[in-house]
Parts: sequence; C-alpha cells; structure tokens
Amino acid sequence: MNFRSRCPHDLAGGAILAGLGVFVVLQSLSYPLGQVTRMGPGYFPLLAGLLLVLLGGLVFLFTNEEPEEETPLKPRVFATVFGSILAWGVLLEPFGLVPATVALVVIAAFAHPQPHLRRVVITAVILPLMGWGLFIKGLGLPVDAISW
Amino acid sequence: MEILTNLEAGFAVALQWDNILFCFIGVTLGTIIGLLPGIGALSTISMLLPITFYMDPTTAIIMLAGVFYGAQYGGSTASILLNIPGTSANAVTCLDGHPMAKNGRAGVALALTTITSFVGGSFSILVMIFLTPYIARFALEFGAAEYFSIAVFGLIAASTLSRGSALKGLAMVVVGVLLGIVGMDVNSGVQRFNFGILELSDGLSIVALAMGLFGVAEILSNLLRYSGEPYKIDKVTYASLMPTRQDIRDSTPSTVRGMLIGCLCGILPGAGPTIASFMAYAAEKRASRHPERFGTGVVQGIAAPEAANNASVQSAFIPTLSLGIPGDSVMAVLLGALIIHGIVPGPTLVLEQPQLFWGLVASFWVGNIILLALNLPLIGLFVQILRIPYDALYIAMLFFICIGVFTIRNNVFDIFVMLGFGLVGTFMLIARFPAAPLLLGFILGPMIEENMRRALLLSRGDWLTFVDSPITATCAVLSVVSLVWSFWSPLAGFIGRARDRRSNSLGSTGFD
Repeated sequence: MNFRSRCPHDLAGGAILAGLGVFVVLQSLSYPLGQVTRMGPGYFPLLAGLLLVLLGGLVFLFTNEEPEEETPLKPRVFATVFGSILAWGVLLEPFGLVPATVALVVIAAFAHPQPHLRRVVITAVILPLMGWGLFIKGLGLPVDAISW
Repeated sequence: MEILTNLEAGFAVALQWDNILFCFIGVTLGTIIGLLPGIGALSTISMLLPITFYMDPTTAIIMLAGVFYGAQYGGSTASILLNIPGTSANAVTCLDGHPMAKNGRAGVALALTTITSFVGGSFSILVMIFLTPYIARFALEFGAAEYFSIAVFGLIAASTLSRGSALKGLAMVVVGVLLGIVGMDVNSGVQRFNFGILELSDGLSIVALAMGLFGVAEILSNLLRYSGEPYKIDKVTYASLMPTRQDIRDSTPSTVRGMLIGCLCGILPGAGPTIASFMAYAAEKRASRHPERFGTGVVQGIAAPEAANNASVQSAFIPTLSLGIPGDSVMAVLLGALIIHGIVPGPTLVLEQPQLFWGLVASFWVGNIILLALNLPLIGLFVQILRIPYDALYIAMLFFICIGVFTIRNNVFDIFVMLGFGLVGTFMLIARFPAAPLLLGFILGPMIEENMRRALLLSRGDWLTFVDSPITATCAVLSVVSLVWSFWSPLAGFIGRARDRRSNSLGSTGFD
C-alpha cells in the first residue's frame, strides 16, 4: 500500500475513528451483553463499535479526498475563540453573567485580524446588558448578574 | 372534505395574534440570518430554543420553522449581490445571479428569486397537506421492525447522498449513534459511557452538540479564512424589480422543474435543500438548448435552484412530522426542539394533535406570504444588514451560543461539551468529515436501538424480521442499492488504478 500520495487528513481521521471503535468495543464488553432476544445494555454498543472499527479502517485504507481549499491554521484564532468560551463557562457561576460576558467579548475580539477598540467597547457594554435584561430579568435565568 | 375542515382549524390556530407575531419574527430573523454569510438556520434555531421554553409548543415550532424557510429567501440575496452564498443551499444561485447583478439586473434577479421561492414553497405545502395525513395513517400500522428499517435507510441515504465520500459519511453516522448511547439505558437502567460523570447520565445535550459542530465550527472556520476586509457590495440599481414578459416566459418551466426536484429531495431522507438546488441547476443546464449561456446571467439558472431549495425545506417536514424521521440536520434540531417541548413526532402527532400539525401547515402559508411582502418592497432595507461589522457579529454570536447552550439545562458542563465538539467540528470541517450525518445518527440512534431490541424480542431473535415485510424489504433493497451505487465508481476507479499500476510497475519507478 502506498501511503505517500494519500491525503494525510483521511489517514489520520480513519485511524482515529478505528481507534475510537476499538475503545467502544472494549467498553461495551464491560456491560452485560444479554442474548439476541433479550439484549443487554452492551449488545447494541458492541455492534456499533465493531461497525466503526470496520468503517474507520476502510476510510484509513481507501478514502482519498483532497481538502477543498487550504485553511490556514491561525493559532491566535483558535486560542481566542476557544479561550472566550472557556472563560465564559469558568467565570459564569463564581462571578456572574456580566463579568463572564465582558471577558468573552474582550478575548474574542482578538480573533479579528485588527481589533477595533471602539466597536469592542460598545459590544462589551451592550451584550452584558442584553444578557441581563433578556435572560435574567426576562426569562428568569438562575444566575447572578454580578457576584463575588 | 376532511382536508378543508382540517385546514380551517389550522388557520384558526395560525391566525391567532401571537402566532402571527411569532411567525413574523421567525421569518424576519430567517431572512436576516439567511442574508448574513456565516450564520445558518441551524445555529439560529438552536440559539432561539431556550427562549421558546416559555411559549406554547405550537407557537414555538411555528417560529423556529419560520427561521428555516425564511433563511432560504434571504440566502439568495447575498448570492446575487455579494457573490457569497448566504446559506450553502444558495451557492448555485451565485453562478447566474451575480452575473445578472453585474449586468444591471440585480433588481430583476432579486424579484425573480423571491417569486420562484414562493411558488416552490407553496407547491410543497400543497403536497404536504395531501400526503402527510396519508403517510401518517399508513404508518400507524408500522411495528418496531419497520421503524428500524426506515431509520437505518434514512441514515444510509443521508451519508451516501451527501457530497463527498460516502464512507466518511457512514462512519460519522456511527459516531453519532454512539454519542446517542451516552447516558442511562432505558431498558436496564445501566449507565453507559458516562465515565462516572454525573452530568452525562441524562445523555449529551443535542443543542450543545449541534452548536459545537455547526455554530462554533462555522465561526471558527470563517475567522480562519477572514482577512479583515468588509464585504464589498457592488453598485446595484433597483431601478426595475419587474421581470420582463420574456423573463417570466423563460423561467416558468425551470421553476416547475425546480420545484418538483426540490419537493422530492425534501421528502427523501438525507437530501436537503443544498442537494436539491445543485440537482435542479444541473438538470436545467442539461435540459437547455443553450447550456453554454449558463453562468452568464440567465434567469433559468436562478429560478430552478431557488424553487428547488424552498420546495425542499417545506417538504422536509413531511417525514419529520409523520414518521419522526428527520431528513437533514436542521430538521434533526427541530425534532429535538419538539421532543424538548414534550411532543413526540410520529403518526399520532398528525392524527391526534391536529391543532399542532395543521396550525403549523397553515402558518407556512402565512409565513410565505409575509416573506413575499417582506422581500419584494423592503429588499433595500435588508441589504443594509450586510453592513454590520463582522467583529461585532461573531462576538455576539459566541455570546448567544454560550448562553443558549447553558439555558437548555442550566448547566455549565454543557458549555465545555460544546467547546469540545467545536474543536472536533473544526477539524472535521478541515478534513472534510461531514457533520450532518453525525447529528442525524445522534437523533436516530436511540430510536434505532429501541426498535431493534423490540423487533428481535418479538421475532424471537430471528434477524429475518428486518426483511420479511413489504416495508422492511423495500427499505433493505433501497439501502443496498444506495450503498452499491455510491461505492461502485470509487471501487471501480481503485481497481482500475491498481491494474494500471501493476502493468506500469515494470517501467516506472515512482507513483502518481
């Protein structure tokens, strides 16, 4: 088999899927399997896991799809988008909706190639206000606006 | 006439003031997010879902459905004016819509796509009115084996019909089915795949999954390709919105063909509005006596795909409501919304909760008429929305995604689940592993397991129960046919290449 001319995405993807399948198979063997007429909780996951091993293997061996266009992997975009969501989730319960949202806006702003200060400040004022008015006051979301 | 009395009852529901209001909000929002490249109906419906908890389920679903079909109206506008499709279902409309705008006929193109959208949508609503009760009555007879077969066929069709590799689609379906297993097994009470995490015992939240795979991944991939420049709207004149008599004559047969293709694609599992519009454009080009003119701004090239994608979003409600089997990912989220509201779609929904089903059908007419009124005279106003700076937009979306996911179960854990799937979804997008089959597998997985167990219990372990009734046999044959059909040409190509390589290996040193 010649792997050099193959798309690395599909090789990696197929291998990950097959590995996931192996994991599912092993995990489902720890549940009671039962019989065909009375399936236990492990029976269906076992079948699905085996199918995933097979399909992942086939993707690894045969699929060769070129990516449609080269997507540049900008580390800053990844870090800021995921960082902003992470910050919101971590800050929400200890500090409240307003600080969490301000943190989200400030971190996410740096995902843009040229952050625009005035627009970021406006967004950082409007979104927490909307969150407070619409979700806490309007829909009764059980979180504090600000707490410490 | 039973249908007329049902429709009358439906309009009594749809014409209540609050239902008209939320239908209006839904389709207006749909038009706006359809216009904006980078926000799809799926993320918008997921974001709106928590707000609908406080509404009557019928009103909620009227609004959420309005976002879905409204987006098809807005999407063509971005295709025509910016040459950027507002949603993927409007991508082919760029091919002839944008050249029309460059030729100074943007107004005509916008008016024509709105009219053909209306015609296509209306046709499918009519089909829905006559077909759905019939299917529902038929489906009342279905047993566990039938439901299993239809759902499996739906998943196979969804992965083999989607563009790109069928193998990858099938693998993603299985991943989705496995994700659907997480949580408590309803038959035995055993916790599966929860790894001791309490929050996983109720299963993964469909909104967290959908928002991660589609919402976050969409924002991220847009930002990765974004250079910082605002959209450039070419100078267009709206001098004339009126198509000429020649335009109407040229586009009418295309509209009819487009709406037939679209309606069929919507009913078929797995073929959503995007495939419908591509198929309609290809068919139009083949049927034309002047295929070389396509791409230069011919009306046939915008009429057919726009009639098709609107017809398909309306007819997609037929299998979702009558069988509880969604055909594409947006429908899967709408189905999830119904389930969260405590409504189980299926034949009994259509027959025993007529106010919901017929109210929804009647609201489709109301919504389409609002869209017609909204899009024709106010198009200039909507285009202004494209001037919203992208940085404010994606930050606001991130916020609404976070708060939307949190509100479903008031649980911060779901935010981290969404974050994980956002990462997975971005890499899936880059490596071209489709996310829609995964979501469908997630929604249909529990139903497949449940019905498989029940069917094998009833048949005393005889697997032939999945092929021995007319319905199950048909589904089995169709599944095999679509598998063979999608694997035949890659397999033939692979064997052909291997043979070439063997015959060349004597003379050549390297591989191609």
